[in-house]
Amino acid sequence: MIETELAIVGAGPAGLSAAIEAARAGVEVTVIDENAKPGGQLFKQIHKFFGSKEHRAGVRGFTIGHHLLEETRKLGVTILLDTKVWGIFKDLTLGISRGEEMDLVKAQKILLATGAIETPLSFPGWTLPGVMGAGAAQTLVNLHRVLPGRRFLMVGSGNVGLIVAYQLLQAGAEVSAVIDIAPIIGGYGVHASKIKRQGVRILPSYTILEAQGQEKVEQAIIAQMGQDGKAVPGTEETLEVDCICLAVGLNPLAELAWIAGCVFDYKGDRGGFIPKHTRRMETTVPGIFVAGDIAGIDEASCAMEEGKIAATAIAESLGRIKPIQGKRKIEKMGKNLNTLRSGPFGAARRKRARFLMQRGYAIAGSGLDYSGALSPGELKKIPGVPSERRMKKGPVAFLECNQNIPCDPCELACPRGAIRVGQPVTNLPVLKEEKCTGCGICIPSCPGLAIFVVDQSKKGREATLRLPYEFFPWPEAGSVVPALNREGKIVTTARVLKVSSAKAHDRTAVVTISVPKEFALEVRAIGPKPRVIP
Amino acid sequence: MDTIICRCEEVTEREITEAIEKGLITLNEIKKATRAGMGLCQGKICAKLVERIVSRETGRAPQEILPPTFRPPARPLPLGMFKEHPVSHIASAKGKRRKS
Amino acid sequence: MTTPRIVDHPILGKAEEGRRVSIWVDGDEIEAIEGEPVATALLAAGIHVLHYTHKYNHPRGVYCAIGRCTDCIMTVNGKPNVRTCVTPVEKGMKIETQRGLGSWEHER
Repeated sequence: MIETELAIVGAGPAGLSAAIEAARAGVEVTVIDENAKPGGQLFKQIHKFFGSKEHRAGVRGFTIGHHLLEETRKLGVTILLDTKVWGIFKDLTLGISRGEEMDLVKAQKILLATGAIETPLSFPGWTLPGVMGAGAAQTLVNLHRVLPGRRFLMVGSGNVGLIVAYQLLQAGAEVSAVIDIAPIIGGYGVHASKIKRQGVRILPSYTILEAQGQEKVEQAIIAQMGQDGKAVPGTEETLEVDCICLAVGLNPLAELAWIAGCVFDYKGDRGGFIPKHTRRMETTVPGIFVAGDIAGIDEASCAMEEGKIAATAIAESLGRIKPIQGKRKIEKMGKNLNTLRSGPFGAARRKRARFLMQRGYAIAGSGLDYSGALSPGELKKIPGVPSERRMKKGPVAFLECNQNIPCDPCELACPRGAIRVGQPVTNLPVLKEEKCTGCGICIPSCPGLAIFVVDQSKKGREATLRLPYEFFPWPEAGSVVPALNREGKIVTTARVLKVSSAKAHDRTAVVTISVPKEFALEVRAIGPKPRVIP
Repeated sequence: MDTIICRCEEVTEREITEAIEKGLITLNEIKKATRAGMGLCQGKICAKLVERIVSRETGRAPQEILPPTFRPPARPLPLGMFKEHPVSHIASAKGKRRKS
Repeated sequence: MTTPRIVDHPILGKAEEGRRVSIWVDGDEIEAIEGEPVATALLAAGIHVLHYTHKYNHPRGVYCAIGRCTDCIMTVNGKPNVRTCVTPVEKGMKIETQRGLGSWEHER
């Protein structure tokens, strides 16, 4: 029998953040995870996170994972890996097992941070090898460094679908299309833009009819969905793909909460049945808390904040911190959490979710009417884009960010104060064009890769463009490459002038190209397609 | 071939709709009649699909369709493991599920 | 055809140099990296079908990749129903494409 004060089930972002917060308050913590390695989904997240500085905005998921683990090591937190929790009993004892051995853990408080599981989607042929969860593809590619296919179809345009599609491009694969049954893209516009400008088709109101192949996926048949929920005749398309990824939602992994007798609430736009909990993350079973996706599907940054809130409440209930301290801390963390979930964008996620719920899909979604590519008219309206007058004077930044996402690393990146986000951090970044010198330091700072520097001022027919680049191989200076617009269409060719990357850029390279002046406001990406380095 | 819904037990969509037609409308009933949810993954994958089918066929909203009852062990365990340990803890576990 | 292994990556950098070992799949020798999941060694060798189902004899491969769904089960060193996506490669492992839920009769 192992005795501990706080048993945390799950060593993902919520569990580890809670462990750190509790250990700092002097609570004895044991974290239990059934996987061989800790970190949950964090180590698969190779993109930069959004949010603000205290949410570690601009930092890649796996870097955050390393930091959290380092902290737990320093604080002497026990983490039991390869250990399954198979039961929770009335007195808060947990049944655990590792290999062929079993044991019991007697805890005073329990935090369930078991995360989520991918929502399935069934269709003829979905059991063929080659059909897998988007998370599965992400695991294979980012953790195990193996591509399960060469040409992918992504089903689902929420953040998971869009991000994994981008990561597949980074790994050298082709993404034939991203489809979604809803009429609008589910994830952040900038995630959609990153793949759309590389030529990936994003098709809202599309469904997959069938996966075909002998022993594994060889084709996928997709079609447009009509208002009646049936495929529109004549829109069927056969895609030659060898891998189909399903990114149609996440649902809390809450068996342990059911077993422990927690009362559940149904929240269709947070993943379905969720253990009912207070603002302090305590469930209806005294002493059992929840944090992270189990408490409602959301971003990793929210999971970490919830973990900290639960840990603070637990530390207070164990007498390690005074109620007044606890109250203050929890209020502050609660505010942070609200910031992460705020903005008209955060509220608008319900719109898409409602559409899908009416059709029997319980998902956590978000979305605005956005095709993934800003039109010239839309571009003029956003405050991050300079005036024509300023464009003629010299190089200047274009902050092509048009959704109120809580995010502000660009503001901190500019040494001249030419970018202003302010409070709340959901504000669109404003470009103070008189202060901007076009130095381009901001380009790699944007987690959405939505900042470009354009110089149309030189004499002659060419303009120079500097864009963020996260693919291999790097284009060679002096080479001529295809130049694509925001829709992913090749509109001209570009000459590569320079490719650079500094340590501070954290692996986001900046490519300088020259294009004919008339394309300076259109070109936002270069080809050829990235490929695997043998 | 009719679409597979429960990947582990290879239960097809038709088998599930037939069970619903017979009046079995909870996930527990459907599980016991068809074995959907009884396989190696214990319903982790198919429960959501069965729920969707029940919702579609009966018109009930997803929030009215509870998942199948969960009881320990939440993960497959070899029986020999229990030799060394007292049974009393397991007997007092409650697999009750309620929602507000 | 280029290998499915991602040797270099813009964000992840160069793959760690793991020890290359031989494992046997249905009697054929393939090269794998010691410690990587068996399923990914098979994917790297172009093997996507991991088992055939009990009832309808359907081919199955990796679906969840984190050991939850059990579609990746194969018979490893005589032991059936091993989840290959979470089982690390060991030198000399004998892996068989499993039919149904396998049997223990091969156990040494």
